[in-house]
Amino acid sequence: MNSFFRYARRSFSSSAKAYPKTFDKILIANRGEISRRVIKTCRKMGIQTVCVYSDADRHSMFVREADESYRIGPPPTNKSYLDMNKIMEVVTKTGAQAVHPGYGFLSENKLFQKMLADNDVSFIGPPGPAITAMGDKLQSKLLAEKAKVSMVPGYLGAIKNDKEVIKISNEIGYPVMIKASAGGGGKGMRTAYNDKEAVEGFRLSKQEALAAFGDDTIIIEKYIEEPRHIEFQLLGDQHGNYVYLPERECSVQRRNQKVIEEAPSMLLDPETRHKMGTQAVDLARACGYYSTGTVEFLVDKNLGFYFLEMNTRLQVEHPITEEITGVDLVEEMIKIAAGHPLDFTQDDIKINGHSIEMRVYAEDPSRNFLPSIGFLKKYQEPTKHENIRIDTGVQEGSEISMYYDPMISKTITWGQTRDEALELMKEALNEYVIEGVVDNCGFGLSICNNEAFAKGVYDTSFIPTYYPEGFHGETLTADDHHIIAITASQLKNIHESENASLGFTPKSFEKIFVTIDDTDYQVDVNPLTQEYTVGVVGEDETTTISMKDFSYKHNVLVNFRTKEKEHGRRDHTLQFTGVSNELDYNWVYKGTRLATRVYEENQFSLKKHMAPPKVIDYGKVVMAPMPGAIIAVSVKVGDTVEIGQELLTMEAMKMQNLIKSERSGVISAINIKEGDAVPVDAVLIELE
Amino acid sequence: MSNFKFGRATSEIQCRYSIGRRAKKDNKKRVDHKLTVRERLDLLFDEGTFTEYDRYVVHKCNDFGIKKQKFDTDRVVTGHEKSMEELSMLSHKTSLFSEKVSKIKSQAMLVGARIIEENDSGSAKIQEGVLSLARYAEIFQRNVNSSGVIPQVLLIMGPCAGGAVTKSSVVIRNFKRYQAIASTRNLMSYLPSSNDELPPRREWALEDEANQASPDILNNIIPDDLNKHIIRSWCSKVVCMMLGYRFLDCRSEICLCMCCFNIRGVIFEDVPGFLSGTNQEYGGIIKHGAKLLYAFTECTTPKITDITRKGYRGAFDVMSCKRLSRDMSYAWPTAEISAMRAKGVVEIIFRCQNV
Repeated sequence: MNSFFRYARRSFSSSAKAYPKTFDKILIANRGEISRRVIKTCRKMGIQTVCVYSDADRHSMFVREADESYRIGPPPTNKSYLDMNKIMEVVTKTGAQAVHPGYGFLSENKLFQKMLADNDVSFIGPPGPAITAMGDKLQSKLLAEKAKVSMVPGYLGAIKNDKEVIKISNEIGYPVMIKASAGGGGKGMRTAYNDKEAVEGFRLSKQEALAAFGDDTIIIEKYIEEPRHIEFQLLGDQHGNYVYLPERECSVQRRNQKVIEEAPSMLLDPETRHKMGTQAVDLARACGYYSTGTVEFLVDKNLGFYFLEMNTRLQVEHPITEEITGVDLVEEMIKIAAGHPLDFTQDDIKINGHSIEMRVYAEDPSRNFLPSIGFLKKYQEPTKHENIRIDTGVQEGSEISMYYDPMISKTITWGQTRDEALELMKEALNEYVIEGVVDNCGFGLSICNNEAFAKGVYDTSFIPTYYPEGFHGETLTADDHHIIAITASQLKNIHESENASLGFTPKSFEKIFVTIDDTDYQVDVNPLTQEYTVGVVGEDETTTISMKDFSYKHNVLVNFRTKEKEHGRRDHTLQFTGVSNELDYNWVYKGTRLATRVYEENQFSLKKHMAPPKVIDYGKVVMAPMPGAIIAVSVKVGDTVEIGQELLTMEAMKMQNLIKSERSGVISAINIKEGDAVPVDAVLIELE
Repeated sequence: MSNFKFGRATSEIQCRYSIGRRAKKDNKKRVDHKLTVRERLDLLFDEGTFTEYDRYVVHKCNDFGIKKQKFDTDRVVTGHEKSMEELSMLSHKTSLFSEKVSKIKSQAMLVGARIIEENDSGSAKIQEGVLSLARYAEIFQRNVNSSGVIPQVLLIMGPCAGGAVTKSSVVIRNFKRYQAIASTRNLMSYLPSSNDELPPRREWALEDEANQASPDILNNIIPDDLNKHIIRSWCSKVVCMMLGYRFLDCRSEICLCMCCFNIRGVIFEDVPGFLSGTNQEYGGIIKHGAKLLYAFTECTTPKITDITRKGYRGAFDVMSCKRLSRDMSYAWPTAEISAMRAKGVVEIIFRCQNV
């Protein structure tokens, strides 16, 4: 590996390196994780940073970390992060010489670029004409064709009527993809396998496109089966030098939203990589591109590749490329914007190891990936490991608000081999403590454990194939239950000894009962040998497990090692998320949340006399996500509601929050009225 | 050891109960998902540590045919835990035979022991007439005398009425019966035996993590997860997330309790001010507010005030503010300290200027 690049891997700090003169002060027109990411590089390069923030981000980490921060408006994006005039005001006021737009928001907005240019402020990103050219699907295709980039067979032109649809579809050959020229994010897209579906898809896409983008231009192209989404990161300077960086494989997607990305791809060989990279560079050159950009390809199983689109910004998943190449992309962007030439060539770029990124989101994989908003009551990043990188904009106590993308962090791991990176990812996700919102760590863990994924054999249909109904948590085996039962026993004894400081002598229970999923387990503890004998109550069969090196960190993470006849030595990580009602022990194990009930002998013998617990079907109720006041109720009993339909408005933490339905159904009860103050988790509305 | 187990050691007496009647009563308890007094004692105390008092006492009332309804213990169980200094305890079953209760309360006062009272009683036997009232008065007298001297904990274990719901220092609500008992055990590890002693101290490993104000701040402050519940229910009375006269009373009591038993206090303040209006006036906001003010001023144990969000108006003063006998005051980054809500201030000061 080229020692010149080694400095940048894992940490972006390089004290020895001298940076060419770029800017003195940069304004970052973004928020959260990406703002922090840019600040980090600016610090390294000795550049001052200015951040802008909305009211909702008042206490965010990036606001505190920037050298200067300015409020630009209320939480809604169109009044803050998308308000060019307000941002421009801050630029003028602070004397920032350049603006880094991050991703999203104003990163691909030509008006903003023009405004900056008019005021003599540099835009850290690609030139305006290139953004315009690549922003439109149809235009970018025409440009790509001119640059001799390998294209999906299709018809590059607006399609007018049903007849034409059938004619063109047959020319291309089924299956075909019908999509809106202005589209994105899966809207206005249809697959058709025959004439009938093609006509139908054409009509529907046209309607959708008109509604979503105000433009009903429709294009048709070949639908590629078993496609993999592979993209190339480009770097180009203003002097016509270009390099491509090794590819990112982003096939693990749900509804065109990337979940796990890795670099490099398991599929490509050096030859294909070179071919694809060269074409990507050709395309960039054709549109006079500079700064960072990403050319996306679809690759079929025979290594045939087809140009998809070009993203004219720094992408969310850029860290994995940085991890395997050692290039700091933000640094390069800044240098390029200041007019410096690239100081390395294509030959300097080598692939070093393997990197995987998981986007940790506050969303519920069991409820259609609905965003989950709230405060991070507990937030503990995985144990520091030099090969785990967490890019985040939040910390414990932060709020995941309804106004912005509910991303918690990007968890990136690196290893010499893919297996090493994957193992590290599993470890990281297992140890990731997130309380207060629902997260997708368990989902990520499940993907990492998937056999097809582990082998690297997957395509864009991975999630629809393996998780057609979403992810509802792993089914835990009896063996898993045993591990939970012995951990619960150990903790129960620890707690009991802590409690007994007065009045009651410290107790160490030798018999503890643990109820997991309606099964009662009896655990016999031998305190001297730390051996646990676990068995289902009423059954003869028992397992003896001996426990070693028990540790309990941050009040959450439980680590220990076991020795069993059946499995030998094993390491375990559990998250113990607290006790409720004295007896309910809550856990996150293997990415799955579960509640157990832990009894001592006396309590267990009396259990049969207790009232059975009330079962709330959480799928059928709407609960208050936070304490607040009800401003308006938009539905009434008997109404039929659809997923995403607005149910009520709640005011909490000075903000109005829309509570939407997470499932469709008929409303059977409304437990609140306007003006009511409700505590968190109060059942507001019940569905049939 | 098992022979000494509480329930079994008393089996000889239980034999003298009218079996049929007892079974009927117990069955009723089962339907209500209640535990019998013996079962509750088993849960509360460690095996073989409870010594019962006055096991063979029966009532002396002969009127209205209750002469025939005499039972050993008279459905009131009293006794003490192994080492007398630690704990006294009494457990009412359905009716009260107050002499036993008075006796154990006097005893507790004398030796300085904490009282745990479990209550599942429909109040006095009316058949006893005025005698029952007299006995009640005796209990009340002792309650008042021992108030602030020894900690008294009352568990409401079933529907209680009338004089049976005598006021003790801490009342534990009845979530699920064995959980209530488990949390009592838990609570006891925070209380001293009497006001002559210091509360138990334990090493706490506080984690220094930056926390922003969130509705669940307490989760992060109280270090030990298991103890969270009780402490929280204690604290939540001190913390006033909502302000209304109803909660003021609780807070003054907690504060007095802190003072009596040498308990240190951390006060989290998020108070938008007393809500002026007839509603609170009728509820006695001034009276209760004054009580709280008195309690905080009078309390001599260490107090730390954390203003997490709002500290407005008079409520700012009352909640152990900087100049009100607190030891330390902290304002979190999210704190807002003001004489009034900003909007209200602007509306008053600039009222003629159409702002």
